[in-house]
Amino acid sequence: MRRIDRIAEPWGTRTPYGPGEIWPVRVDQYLSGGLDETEVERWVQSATVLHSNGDAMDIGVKDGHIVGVRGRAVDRVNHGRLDPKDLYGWQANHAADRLTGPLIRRNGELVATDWDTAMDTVAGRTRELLDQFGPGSIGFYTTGQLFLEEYYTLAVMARGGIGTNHLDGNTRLCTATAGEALKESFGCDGQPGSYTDVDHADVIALYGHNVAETQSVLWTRMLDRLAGPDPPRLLCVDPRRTPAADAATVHLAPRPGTNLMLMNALLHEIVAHDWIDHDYVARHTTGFEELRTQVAGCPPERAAEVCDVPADDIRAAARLLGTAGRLLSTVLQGFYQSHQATAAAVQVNNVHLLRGMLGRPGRGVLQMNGQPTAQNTRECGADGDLPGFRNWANPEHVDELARLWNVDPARIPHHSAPTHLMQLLRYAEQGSIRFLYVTGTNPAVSLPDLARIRELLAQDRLFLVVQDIFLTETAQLADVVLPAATWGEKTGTFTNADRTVHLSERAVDPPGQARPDLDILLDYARRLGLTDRDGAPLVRWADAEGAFAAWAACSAGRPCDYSGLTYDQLRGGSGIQWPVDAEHPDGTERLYVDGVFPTDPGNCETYGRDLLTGAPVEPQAYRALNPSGRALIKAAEYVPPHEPPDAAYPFVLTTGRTLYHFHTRTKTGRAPQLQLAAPDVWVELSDDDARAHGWAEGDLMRVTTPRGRVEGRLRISAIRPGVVFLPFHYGYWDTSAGHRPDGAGRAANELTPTDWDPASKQPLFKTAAAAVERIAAGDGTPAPAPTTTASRPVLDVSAPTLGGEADRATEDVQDGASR
Amino acid sequence: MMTGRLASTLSDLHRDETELAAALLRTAGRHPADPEIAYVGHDLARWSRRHATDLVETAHRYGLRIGAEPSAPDASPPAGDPGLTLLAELRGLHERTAGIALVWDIVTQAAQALRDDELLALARTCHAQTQQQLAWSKALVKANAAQLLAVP
Repeated sequence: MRRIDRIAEPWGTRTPYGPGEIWPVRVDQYLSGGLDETEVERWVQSATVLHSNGDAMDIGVKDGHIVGVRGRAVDRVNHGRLDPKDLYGWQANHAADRLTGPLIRRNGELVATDWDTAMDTVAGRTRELLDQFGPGSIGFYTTGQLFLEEYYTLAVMARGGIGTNHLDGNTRLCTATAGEALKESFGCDGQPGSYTDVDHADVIALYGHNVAETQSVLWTRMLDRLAGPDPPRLLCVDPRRTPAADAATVHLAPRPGTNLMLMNALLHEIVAHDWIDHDYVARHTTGFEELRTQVAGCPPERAAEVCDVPADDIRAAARLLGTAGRLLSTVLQGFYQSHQATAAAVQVNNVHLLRGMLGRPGRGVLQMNGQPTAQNTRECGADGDLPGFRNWANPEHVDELARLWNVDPARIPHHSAPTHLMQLLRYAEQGSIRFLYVTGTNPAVSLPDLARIRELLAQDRLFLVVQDIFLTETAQLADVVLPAATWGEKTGTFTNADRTVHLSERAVDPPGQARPDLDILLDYARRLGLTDRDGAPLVRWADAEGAFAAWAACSAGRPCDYSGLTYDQLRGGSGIQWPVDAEHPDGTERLYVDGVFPTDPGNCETYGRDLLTGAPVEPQAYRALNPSGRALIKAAEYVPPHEPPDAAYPFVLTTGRTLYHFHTRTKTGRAPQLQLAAPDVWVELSDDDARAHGWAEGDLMRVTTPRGRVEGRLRISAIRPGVVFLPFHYGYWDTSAGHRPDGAGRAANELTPTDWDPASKQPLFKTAAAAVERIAAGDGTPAPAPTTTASRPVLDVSAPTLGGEADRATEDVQDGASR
Repeated sequence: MMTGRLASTLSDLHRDETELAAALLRTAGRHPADPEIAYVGHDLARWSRRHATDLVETAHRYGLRIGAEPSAPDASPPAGDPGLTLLAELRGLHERTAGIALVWDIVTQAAQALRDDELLALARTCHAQTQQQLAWSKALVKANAAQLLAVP
């Protein structure tokens, strides 16, 4: 057992291992107040909700309170390790400002009320609007942080009961492109790879994926491979000098917005050198000729000009990919939230299809998720698809759901793709959506162009319901606020980015009158009187396990099959990867082992979209491709980003994350150790740009776009010149103004444009044009940015990111592994 | 050797593509709050302008000059209910694009008969992109029609 400062050492102690070996166990633990392990009364099984990695943990309970956490040694995902956010983030559960009772707006002010009044008001307004304007006037906006049972219940209510097409999740911001890229290439959502591919890979390619900060335990796994014998070589594509970029054999830092050109050039080289598994391409894919034609016009020299990356570096990167024996690729927001998002992410799939690198150890693609339960939002149809990865354009899939729910198929909207979030908000802005029910997300900080979003959400004609655990910036704009229970206070399941399902049990009671989200939704359904075609209640379950069983039945026979899975099976041991059915009772480690893909027109989740225009492919056109069982190789032409820098706005603005916070800091901002590690917004620029303008570390800067301005202290980092980075976590709940800027803004999204990828409908946060100016010289105090991660300074700023002596965590390295 | 009829067809097509590009930009400019119209409209206008430029080059290869006069812009914004106006604008774009797609079919046929591989390659590329433009305007109509017409 070793005591360690996990703020200063976010990835902990190395436990090196070699290719094909089992990753050694290291159990991480933190108990508050110097509590001894023997004082913990009970440990309750759970998994993380502060990122998408799905690290399994036990919650320590004493006197009805959470007192700490420890990683679960038996779990396949983390082998005992925990992210610093998980070690400390649970403290937010007991924050003094938790919502403990419903609130309702009276005479312009939010005042306390009782559950009956609140729920009658919410259900009453819904019914009134349904009668007067129909289901198209009702919208739901959920999250990637509730549990599977809650999403499925919400999807049944919205799609099968109320009959609205307007239900989406904030997964639209984090993982819509992952889902779309998988659907476009393989016919259906579902991660082909597995985290265990890290154990086997000889090349790992990270595309716009700052894994060290977004999935720190996955990076720990990679670090342990890098520290062991026969380490993998890394390719890193990122405009910032991330920890992965430091460790990479080749680091490409392209001009933001040019990912597709870079990918086309890499594919050009793979084709030109014939690093192609021709047998695999011939037997298992369709569309190669189109790709060959498209990338023929993208030699490294052209990409070098467009992306501003040396042509030789592109060649070196292509050689890594082309000569890898076991290639693992991961993709995240640097691609998903950037220009031509889906088109670029699909080209990563294409690299694997051309090289025949799928379905075997070390040969996988991980189109990552951003949030802990985003996979379930997608599976359950609480986003832009129908439950069970069903295809809205396939009448047989709609009929299946109608039979399952015992409703008329016409009740389930399927005249077009389910409305995506940004369109949903546009309808609210235009006035046709008059009711918006937001669960567990904070659009007043996380969406682009915040001035517009605040105005839109504050409209008198829009009835806004917010269900959350704190009075977030968004909740402050609501007409009714419903206090929810959170992780540790309710039971349910969720699924991580590599299809691993975990059970999270209730460890303590929620504060005050707060209720589990599922209970609130069930209450809403009851008050609305939602029924099936025989007049029986539409939602036939009363608790989480009942909802899970209903979902398992809905998923049966679909690629995300949970029909063989029960709560009991998830108790005690490791998480389990879906599909889990009669054929795979213990789950499934890798998909597409046999090179057969769910692209059959009767089976596929989508007929696809045009990657450039986003136009859905018509069913006949899809059938004409004759993809049955073959993966689709889709090519796309690079077009320039929509808001290029100019004389007035000469920088490219990109926003992102830091290791110590999650989303809008509703939880991590209330964990003192995490808040102290990254206390405020900063403005990150390169040394070149700082020198050219005579700016210094800690100077007070203003960043301006046509949409707004933000002020923060300057951090001079090794970011690409010409790019300005802002972390997007910082809103206003802990400022005097409450939900909006008072003077200068600090939320990065004051600056970002309303634009999205036409195929995935994911908003873009990585390519805006911005002006940067210094408004005051600093006093030598460095920017409030972590020194441990991508934001570390180029010069020694003598204020390293450290944790307190009293906040040390412990590590217990097992299996004889050592540093 | 290009026939007078083909020359006339290419000249008309050049005009149509130029006008489509202008129409796409007009519609894009009228809907700045709808990025799938505003931004994608610009991307698609770029294609039409490129088609027009390529047609000039092709004609030049045959010793012809086409496409001197630019089309007059339609300056007046449409009036009336904004929802209906949007659908009408998209319908206008769709019809204009459908006509152009058919002309590219005509050119494809002629190029095959003339064994003009260069023209054939151009016609095939442009026809495919015109189909994408066509699918886009239809998709926007289908995505918006229900909300615009069924929800007051």
